[in-house]
Amino acid sequence: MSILRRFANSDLGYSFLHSRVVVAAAIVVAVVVVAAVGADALAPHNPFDLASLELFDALTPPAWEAGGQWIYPLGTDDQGRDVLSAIMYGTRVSLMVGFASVALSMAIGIPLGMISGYFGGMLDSVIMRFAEIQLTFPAILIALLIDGIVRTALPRDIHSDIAVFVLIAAIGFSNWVQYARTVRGMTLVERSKEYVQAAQVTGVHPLLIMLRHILPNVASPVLVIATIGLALAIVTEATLSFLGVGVPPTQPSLGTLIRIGNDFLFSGEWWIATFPSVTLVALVISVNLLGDWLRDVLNPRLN
Amino acid sequence: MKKFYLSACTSVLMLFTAASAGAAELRVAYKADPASLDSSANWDANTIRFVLNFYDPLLDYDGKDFIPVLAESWEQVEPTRWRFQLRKGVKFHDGRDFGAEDAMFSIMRATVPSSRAKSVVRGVTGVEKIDDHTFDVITDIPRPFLINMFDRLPMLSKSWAEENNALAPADVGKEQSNAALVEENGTGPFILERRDPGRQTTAVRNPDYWNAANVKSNIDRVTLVPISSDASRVAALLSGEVDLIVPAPMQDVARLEAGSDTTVWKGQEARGVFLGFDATSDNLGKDVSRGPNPFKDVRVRTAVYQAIDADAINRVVMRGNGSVANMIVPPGVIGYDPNRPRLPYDLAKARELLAEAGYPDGFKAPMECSNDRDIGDAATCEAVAAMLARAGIQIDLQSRPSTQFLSALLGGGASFYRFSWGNNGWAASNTMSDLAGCKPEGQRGFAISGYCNPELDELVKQINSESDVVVRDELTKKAWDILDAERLFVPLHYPPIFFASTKAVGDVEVNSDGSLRWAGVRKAD
Repeated sequence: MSILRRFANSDLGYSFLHSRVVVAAAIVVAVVVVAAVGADALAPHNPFDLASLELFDALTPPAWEAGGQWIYPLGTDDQGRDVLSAIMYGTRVSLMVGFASVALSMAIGIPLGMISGYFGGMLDSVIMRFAEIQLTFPAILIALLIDGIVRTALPRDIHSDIAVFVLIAAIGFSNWVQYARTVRGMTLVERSKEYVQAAQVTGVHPLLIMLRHILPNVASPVLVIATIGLALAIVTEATLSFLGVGVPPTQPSLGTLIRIGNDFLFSGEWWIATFPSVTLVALVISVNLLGDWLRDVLNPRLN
Repeated sequence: MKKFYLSACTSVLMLFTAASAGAAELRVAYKADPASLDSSANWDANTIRFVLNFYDPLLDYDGKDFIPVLAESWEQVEPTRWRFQLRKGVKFHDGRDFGAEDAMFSIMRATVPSSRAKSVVRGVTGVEKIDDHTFDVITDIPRPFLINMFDRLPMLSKSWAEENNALAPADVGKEQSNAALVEENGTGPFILERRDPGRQTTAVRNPDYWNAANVKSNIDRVTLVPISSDASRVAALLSGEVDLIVPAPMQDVARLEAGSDTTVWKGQEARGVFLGFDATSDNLGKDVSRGPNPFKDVRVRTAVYQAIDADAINRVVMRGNGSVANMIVPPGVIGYDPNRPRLPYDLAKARELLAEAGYPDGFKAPMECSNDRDIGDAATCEAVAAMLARAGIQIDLQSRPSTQFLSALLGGGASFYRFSWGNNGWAASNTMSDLAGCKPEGQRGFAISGYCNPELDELVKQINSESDVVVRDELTKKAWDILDAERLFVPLHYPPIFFASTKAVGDVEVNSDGSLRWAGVRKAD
C-alpha cells in the first residue's frame, strides 16, 4: 500500500494519474498482459491441444451474432479453434518474442554504446560505422535476412523447434543500433563529468565505472527506447509471422492469426482476422502511448 | 508546328484505341505458378494442364470419347502395335513442320530415365516410322489402354530439342535444367511471349493455329500471375485487376456467386484425395535419427484410417462441396467401384489398434502437405492432424507450396502425406501401378509406400492387356482387395473445382481434369 502511495505522490505518479489517456493505455496493456500470461488458467479452451478441437464447431460466429455460442465468445476459425483463446495464447507468443528481443537488443546495444562512448577512438569509429551501415537497412529487412539464412542453414525439422528463438534473434539483432547510439551519446556526456573523472583518478576499473556510475545515468532514456522498441518488436514479429516466416503455425502468434484470418476476409467470416488485429492494434498503440508518456516525464528538459 | 503536334497526338491516340479495341486480353490469377513448361520433367497436374495451352497432344478425351488432335486416326494394327496417322500441314510456333519424327521423339522422350511422365507411355518399347506422317508404337504386351493418357503428352519438335539441348527432360530432382523448362515450341493455340517464373507469364494467340476454326476463344493475349493467397486472389478479381481466378477459394464461392460483378464456373473434378504412408522404411523419413517408422505396421495404418472422420472433413473443410471418397480413384475411372466400402470412422477401434501395435500412448510423426496444389489442401491436413491427435498421434505438419512439397515426396523423405491423383488415363490399374507398384529402391517416384507385391503387379499387367470387360473387372476387384488389405491409403474425398471471373468473361469451359484451357475462354463482347 505504501508503495502505491509513494508512487501516487511522486512526480511520475502525479503525471500518470492526471492523464486519462495514459491510464487507459496502462489498463489495456495490463489486461492484455494478464490475459496472455494467465492464458493457461484463463482461456476457455486450449487451441494448441489439437485433440480438443471440434471440427463441427468450425466457423461459429461471435456469440452475439446469429448462430453464435457463448462457449466461443469471439467465434471459431475454420478448424474449430476458439478465437478468444487463440488470441490469448497468441498474444503470449507475441509478448514473449517482443520482450525477449528487446532484452537482446539491449544486451547488445547498451554495452557496445557504452564502450564506444567511454573509450572513443578507433573502437568507437568501428562500432558506430557498423551501426550506421546497419541503420541504412530497414529493421524488417535485416530480420528477414537473418531468418532466411537460418532457415536455409538448418534442417527443416530442427527449424520448427527453434523458430521462436530465431525470430527473437532476428528482431533483437535488427534493433540494437538505437540503444547503442543513445547510450553512446549519454556516455560521452557523462564521461566528461567530474564524478567520472574523480573515479578515474582514484583508479577505479573502467568496467566498474561504466557499470556503477554511467549505467544508472543512462537508464531512463534506455527505458523510453525499450518501451517503444517493445511495440516495434511486436509489430515486427506480427509482420514476419504474417509473411509466413515467423513462428510456426502450430504456435500461432497474433501475426499468424491475422494471416490465417486474412483468407476469410471476403467470405463473411470477418471475426477470424478482425479480433486478433484489434488486439494487436490496441496493444501496440497502448505501449506506444506509455512510451511517449515516459519520454515526456523522464526528460528533464521538458519539465 | 501546331498542326504537326495535333496530327502526332491524334495518330498516337488512334494507335492506342486501335490496340485496345483489337486485342482482347485475358488476365488470369493462378494459385500456384506451374513448376516449369516441361511436364515430362515436372509431372504434376498443375504443370500438365498449363503446358497444354502451348502444346498439342496427339489426341484428346472429351469425357466419353477420344477425339483426334495432332493424330488424325489411330488403330491397334497388331496386339502389340499401334499405328498413328498424323495431321498434315501442322507447324510449330517457330515455323518448323510437325511430322512423324517429332511425334516419335516426343513419345520416346517420355520413356527415358529422367522422365517423370513414364506412366503415360507405359509398356512402350519402341517406335517405327512408316512415312513422314505415319508411325507405329510398339508395346511389350497387348496394351488396349495405351492411348488413354496420350491426351496429356505434349508433342515437341525433335530438331528444336536437339538445337536446345533438351532431348531428355531435365531431372529436376537433381536440380538439372534445360531450355524446355523455360521456353516452348509447340503447335498449340497460344505462343509463349515471356515467362518470369513465379512472377508473370504472358502468351499471345497463335495466328497460324492449324485448328483456329474450332477455337471458340476470342482472347488475343493472356497474362498469368500467380497469387497464392486466397484473399488476395479474390481481392484481385473483385478489384478488376484480373479477369479470372483459378481456382476460386471455396470459402468465397458463395459470395462470388451472389455478387453482381462476378460469375462462378463450377465443375466436378475427376480426382481423388487421399492420405498415404511410407509402409516399408524402417525409420521415419528414412532417417535413423528420427526414430522408427510406425507406419510400417498395417495396424497403425488402419488406426489412422479409422481415426479420421472423412465425412466431417467433407462437410466442414470442403463446405459440403465435394463427396466422401470410398477409393483413391475417382468415379468415371475404369476400375472404380461405387460399392466398395470405406472403413467406418471409429476412434475407439483406432486407439485399440494403436495399443495392439505397441503404441498405447500414440507417437509423433511428420506429415507432408501442399498448401497451393488442391482446393482446401492445407485445411484438410490441419483437420487430419487434429483428428489424429485424438487417437494420440501427434502430427508435425509441414504445409508447403507444391513445388517444395512434390520434391519432398519424390525425394523419398515423406513418411505420411496428403496427396491427390487425377484420372490417370481413366484406368485404375495405372494408379495402382504408379502408387503401389514394385519400383527399384531410390526410384519409387510416387509409389511412396515402397510396397512391392509381384502378385499385384502381375494383376495390373493382366488388367492392362485384358479386353474382356467382365474378366477385367474381376481382376480389378482382386487387385483392390489386395491393396485394401494393406491400407496403404486413406481415401478422403473427391473435390469440386471452382473458377471465378468478372462479368467481362463470357464463357469458361471447365474440364473434368480441372484444367483451364485458355482456348476455352471467351470474353464477353
